[in-house]
Amino acid sequence: MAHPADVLAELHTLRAENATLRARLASSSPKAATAPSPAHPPPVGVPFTQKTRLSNEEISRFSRQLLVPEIGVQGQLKLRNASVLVVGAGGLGAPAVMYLAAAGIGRIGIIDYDVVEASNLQRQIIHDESRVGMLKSESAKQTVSKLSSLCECTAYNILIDSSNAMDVIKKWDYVVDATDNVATRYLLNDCCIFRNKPLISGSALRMDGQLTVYNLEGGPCYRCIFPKPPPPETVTNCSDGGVLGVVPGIIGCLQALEVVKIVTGIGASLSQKLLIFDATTMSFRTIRLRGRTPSCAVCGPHPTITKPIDYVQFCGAGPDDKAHNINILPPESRISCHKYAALRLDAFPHVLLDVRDKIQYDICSLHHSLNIPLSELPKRIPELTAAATFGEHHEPNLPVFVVCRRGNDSQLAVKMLEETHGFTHVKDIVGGLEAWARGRDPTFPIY
Amino acid sequence: MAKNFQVLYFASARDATLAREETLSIPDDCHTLPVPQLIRNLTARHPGLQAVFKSAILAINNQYVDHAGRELDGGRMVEVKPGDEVAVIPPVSGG
Repeated sequence: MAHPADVLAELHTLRAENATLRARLASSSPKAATAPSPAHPPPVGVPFTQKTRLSNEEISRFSRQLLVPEIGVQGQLKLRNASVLVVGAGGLGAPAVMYLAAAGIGRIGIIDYDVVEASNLQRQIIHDESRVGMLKSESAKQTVSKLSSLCECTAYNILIDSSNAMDVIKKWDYVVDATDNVATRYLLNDCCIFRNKPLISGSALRMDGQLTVYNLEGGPCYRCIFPKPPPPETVTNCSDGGVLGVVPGIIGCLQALEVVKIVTGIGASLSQKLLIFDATTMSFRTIRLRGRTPSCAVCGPHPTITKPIDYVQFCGAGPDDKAHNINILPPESRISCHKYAALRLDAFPHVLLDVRDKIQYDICSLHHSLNIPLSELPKRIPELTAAATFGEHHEPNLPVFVVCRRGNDSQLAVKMLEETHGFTHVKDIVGGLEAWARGRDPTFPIY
Repeated sequence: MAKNFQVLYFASARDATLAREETLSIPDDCHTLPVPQLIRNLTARHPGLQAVFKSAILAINNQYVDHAGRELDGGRMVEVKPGDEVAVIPPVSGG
């Protein structure tokens, strides 16, 4: 333990240092003295004062970066004077924003309209348990404020779409695509072409990641490479397909790295190249892409698209990664979880068919259910027929209730069983196991 | 002599084929396989690839080729040769 006299001496020294610093601050330029506190940045659009010298505080803080020959003082000043818009404060945006702020990017904008959920925390490390329920953009901004008082951070709690993207994007030098859906990816691509901003685009799902830079140094845009959006039925999102948390973490870090390299002019960027990350084999593969497509609808010499379009219509899917509820069955082919629960209590003879994939079935299931995933149902009909045939009968004579996670696949299964396989007593449980957990059994897990 | 080439499947192409990679052969009566024919063969082998190919890109030996077989800036036509490595790369959009 320190001697009291030493502590007093140190206190004296620190007080003197404090006084010197205060005096220096007061005598510095009035502009610097009245600079807005980073916790309350000026409204976007107010000119950001460019710096030509690093402060002592900046020199200390970024010393390890200043010592890198590729960065140096000039590189650090470029970072300080750059502004980066990160769209999406999720699995990709979380590490991207944190590393950009830590690296000394002067201004960072964060767009997200979602709120933090517990299921985000396995990968969205910019948020924490205390932020569950908070707006993601706000939570991300708070983390940036704690990380660095030198970074001016703006949170946009908006759903970026055709009505606002052009206005928002024009205020920033670089755009990071850290979104989770196809429609927003095309929106950002097109607006970055219209506003001539480089787009640093990352994506991740399960164990796969992709990274590239569009619209830089004459390189292609997203539409040059992927002119047509993928059919919605081939698109898997993280909430259905899952994602190993560190996979978007790696891609988000690489996005931040690409921004730093592009801002400072280091080496070669991923313009006209696509990096593919396969976490299962820990392999990184770089595909050499084509240059701009002369016939590209957006960046070609004769564009047919010159302003933002309806991207939901173009992609056949909405600007989010949430599952959307379908409603394809008549009421008589459906049963509420409450009515179904009453049948279970009465020990009413029936078959409960769970059509989720095995990986989901293994997480949780209702007792005495038969698991046949929807994709396997056509070829496993005999199993269902056997389960639903009781006593001397040769035809299915027990009613079949179909359940899934949220009540969409169960409707598809009922339709298939009725129309293709001749089942007559078959109903879907409305809202699936999520409705069951919320309405009937609070001890049943929701994933 | 076997005229084999390797096909790698990524992201949703894996779901459609239930394979990460496979070794295929160029038919006996030809030296190389044109890209449109390759796409037809792969789709016949794995019908699920039909939807995937609506947006997936192809790379031969880590070099982009379009679905007609044109390399890079619409220049040289390339065909699959023995020993080549073909990658089927659908866009990943999650994040």
